[in-house]
Amino acid sequence: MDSASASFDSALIPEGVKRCKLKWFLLWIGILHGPVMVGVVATLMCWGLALNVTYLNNNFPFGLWIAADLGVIALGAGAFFTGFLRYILNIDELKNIVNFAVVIGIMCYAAAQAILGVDIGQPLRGWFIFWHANVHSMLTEVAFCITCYFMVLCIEYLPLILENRQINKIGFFHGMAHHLHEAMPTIAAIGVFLSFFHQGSLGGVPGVLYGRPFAFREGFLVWPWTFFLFILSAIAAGPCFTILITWITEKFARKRLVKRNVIDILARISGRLLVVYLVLKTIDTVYWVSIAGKVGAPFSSFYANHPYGYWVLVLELGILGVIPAIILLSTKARQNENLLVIACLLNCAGIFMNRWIMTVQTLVVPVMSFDKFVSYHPNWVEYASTLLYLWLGAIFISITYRYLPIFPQEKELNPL
Amino acid sequence: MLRNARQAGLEPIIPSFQYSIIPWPRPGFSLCGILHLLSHQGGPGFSFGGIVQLLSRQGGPIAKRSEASFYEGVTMKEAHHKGHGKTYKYGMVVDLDKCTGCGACMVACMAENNLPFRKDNSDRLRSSLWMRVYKISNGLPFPDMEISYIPRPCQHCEGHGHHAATPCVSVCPACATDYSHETGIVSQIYTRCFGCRYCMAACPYHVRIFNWWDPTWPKGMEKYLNPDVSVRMRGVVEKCSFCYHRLQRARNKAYAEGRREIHEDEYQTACTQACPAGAITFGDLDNPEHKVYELKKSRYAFRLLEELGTNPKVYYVSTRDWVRKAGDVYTGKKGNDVMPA
Ligand code: SF4
Ligand code: SF4
Repeated sequence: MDSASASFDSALIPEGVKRCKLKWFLLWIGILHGPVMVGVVATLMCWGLALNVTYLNNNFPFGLWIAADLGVIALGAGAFFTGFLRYILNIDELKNIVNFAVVIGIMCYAAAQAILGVDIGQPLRGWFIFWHANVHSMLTEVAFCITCYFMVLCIEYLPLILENRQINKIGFFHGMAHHLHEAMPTIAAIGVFLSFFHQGSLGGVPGVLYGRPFAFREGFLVWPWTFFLFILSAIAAGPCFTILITWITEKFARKRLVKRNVIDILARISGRLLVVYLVLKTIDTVYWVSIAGKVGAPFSSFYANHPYGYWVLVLELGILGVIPAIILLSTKARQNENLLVIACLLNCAGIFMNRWIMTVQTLVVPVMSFDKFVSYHPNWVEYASTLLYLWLGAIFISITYRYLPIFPQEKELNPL
Repeated sequence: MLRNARQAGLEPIIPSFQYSIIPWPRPGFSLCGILHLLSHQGGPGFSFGGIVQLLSRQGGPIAKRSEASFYEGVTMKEAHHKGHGKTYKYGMVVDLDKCTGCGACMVACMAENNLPFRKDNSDRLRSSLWMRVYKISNGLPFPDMEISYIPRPCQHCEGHGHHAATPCVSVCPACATDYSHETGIVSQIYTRCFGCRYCMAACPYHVRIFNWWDPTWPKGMEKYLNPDVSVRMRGVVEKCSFCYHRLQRARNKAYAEGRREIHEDEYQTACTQACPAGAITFGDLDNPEHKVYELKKSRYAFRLLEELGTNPKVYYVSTRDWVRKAGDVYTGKKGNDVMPA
């Protein structure tokens, strides 16, 4: 018997699928509220007591928050890139995962904006970035594109809400969902355009800092090379994050939700892009080493500050780059679910590591010869206020999964 | 934190005031405040606020009169952006062979510019200092050991070549910091800064500091604050302004006396005047009549991190090789023998 049929909310649950009992669902949501409360307290401390409650300081104006921001936006790239593959390159099988990619995208982009709201010293003035926009600043471009793209994601999410069993009964909403679906290629194209720009601009954020030889890069027109590397790394890691979250959702749901061939397409594309990225990133690193050395910043000086030694390079490009690339490229390895999940995990960790390096390590390397190295590590307030969005994301995904038909193959894979 | 500050006898100027969407120190929400904000946020570049100002023709007769007053034929805004009319390049030359590291410049700067401090101000990474004196050594054992002190205000970078913009100015997303082509001074608009700290990441000199706390002073000391300098609220970035308010004061005086030029000694920064050794000289780097004009040409003159292309307006002079090496390159290209003291 469909255990949900007896539930109070069974009328809202998509037809032909099984969900756990409402009490278990509420218990799960209740448990998630524990860490959420810790995160809320941390956030309120930042707003109420000012940012002295963190471990940030004048040498480290950027820390975990900005690294996490860049990281989640890169991981959220799965949304626009899957949309690009599905609607623009017409890879039809991906229709079975594109909805969920949008859900993950919303979670990531909402998190990024919320984290920025805590990170800035005067949150009530956040709108100045739009009002007094400096068109030469990469951060301005990021702010505009992220906000616009978040709206695009919400529009992409809207038809999913309208497809809820009860809402869909209303003719107007049914029609609206239909029209939105028809307009989806256009909406996806807008999303792709915006995403390319803000993913790139995020790379430009460290890349234009010509006072910081570790991060600064020359480039093409107004865009430093990091602009392009960030786009590439985001589209290489984003699909892996989508696979990872899908896998976790399947584990919690205790059933398959997406067919393996669909996952395999994403994994394969991700693997190939990762290889291209690794090659270009290596060229960029080698080239920059030679340039920076000439103007007085020997390569060794970038890695002379414990704990930011050469192991950082080995970890980022080797363990978190080459290993997942090998797994994702091999058809046989991809078929092995455990290996695939490990590859996705490493790939996502690699992108996070890269964003940390490009923000925090950039600030670690002393520039003046008489400057001393100081270390930074985040404190619990920073961790809790960042992880808050992981828990909120889990709640968001749980509710979406329970009430909206986001996995078109679920019925077929799990006949009642 | 606030409670601790109170216990320590340190009182915030306006204790309840923490965030502001209107120019400080007017607490609370008000429509007037918002209109004020829209119309008075004078600043560089493109801005919706500027458009509103243009449309509403705000600014008032006083602002108009003083804008038109000092510059013939051009408004202050035009002079600021394009450097129309007469331009100046205010800068500093610091003789490191004279500097004794006494710190008088730091203290004078704090008093002049209303820098807040806490009971325990020893955390170098979070304390507020616009002028910081670094101590460096040649790293040799006694008796060859030598010490030098490097006073470091904002370098008021101009940028050049590929980097035609000031590092911190080009990155600020809200146009809250600006390079004046008319004076060569890099300004900071506290009421516009929203504390993203991108400019801090961009500045290689660690000049910019963030207000991690609400500003506090020991009880009674708020009566000694400089009325010419606005006090900064929590959550915004601040930095050395070359005592810009002194330039404004000097100009007002000149205007009142019917002059268009100010003399060298009419505009001097607080640190320059406070230095007992006379190590700091300040003036217009482009004006042959000012002392800095010749001093900066010394064969012993250098600037910090010249190779990055920041093009600073603070020059240092030292006859000691190792001191120059420590300053004009980074990460030890020529200065491997330089050790932080
Ligand atoms: S020293 Fe730093 S704060 Fe001053 S102008 Fe240069 S980059 Fe900006
Ligand atoms: S902290 Fe303020 S001045 Fe610095 S970049 Fe951000 S808004 Fe601009």
